[in-house]
Amino acid sequence: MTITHHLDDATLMSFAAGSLPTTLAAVAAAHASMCPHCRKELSLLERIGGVLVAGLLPADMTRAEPPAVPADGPEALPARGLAGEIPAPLGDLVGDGLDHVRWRWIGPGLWHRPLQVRGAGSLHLIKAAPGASVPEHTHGGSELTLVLRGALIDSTGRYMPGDVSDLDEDMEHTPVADTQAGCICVIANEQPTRFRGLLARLLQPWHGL
Amino acid sequence: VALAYLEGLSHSEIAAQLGLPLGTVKSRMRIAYQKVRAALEDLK
Repeated sequence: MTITHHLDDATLMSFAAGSLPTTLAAVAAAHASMCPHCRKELSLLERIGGVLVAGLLPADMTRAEPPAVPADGPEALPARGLAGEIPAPLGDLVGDGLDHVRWRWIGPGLWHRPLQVRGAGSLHLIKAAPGASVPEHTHGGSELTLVLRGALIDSTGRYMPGDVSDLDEDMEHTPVADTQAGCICVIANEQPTRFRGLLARLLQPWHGL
Repeated sequence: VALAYLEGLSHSEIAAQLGLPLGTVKSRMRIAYQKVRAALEDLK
């Protein structure tokens, strides 16, 4: 597997700092588990964070309360992995593999499966038939898309398994699945997708993207 | 960078706190990382 599309440096920094929202962190962790390049960058960023924390003035802890455990902290992410197409950080979420997902039809050539993760934002599996496209849209915040099977094409390039598309609110696109293999990907959104078309917007409460 | 690492704020939370677009926050994070990375390369 040759990965050519990586996590943005800003996303890597936020992930290393532990401040990336849980749904985005799930996809970032999945990509990093497949990508030696991003793991190397994360290692450097974690050391930079260590230097920053080491430079803090010591705090008076004599009357300090025990630290609160954040509701959407790292424990919200599962750890079990599966062999094959599903990266380890998504193992418990996806279940028995991509061939056993209970898909729900949401439009011509498109199927959807929400994944339950605590925290802000949403996490979905999307399956697209060969040549199918997601209607033109922008994003209310950051969006990470990791290809698990097949390929996805938009104006920023062609994404193969292991590649991640790392976009923010400035990007408008119409992703299309490969005309031979179709595509299965996992998508994390910080905010609901903003579709340009009226029909896609009207159906948004139903399709849940 | 301090808000992300030391305060644990997401990019969107930093953007809201500083009154900046999300893209500007991410762009500044990228520039900061590139500067640190360049400085580390110089030390090698």
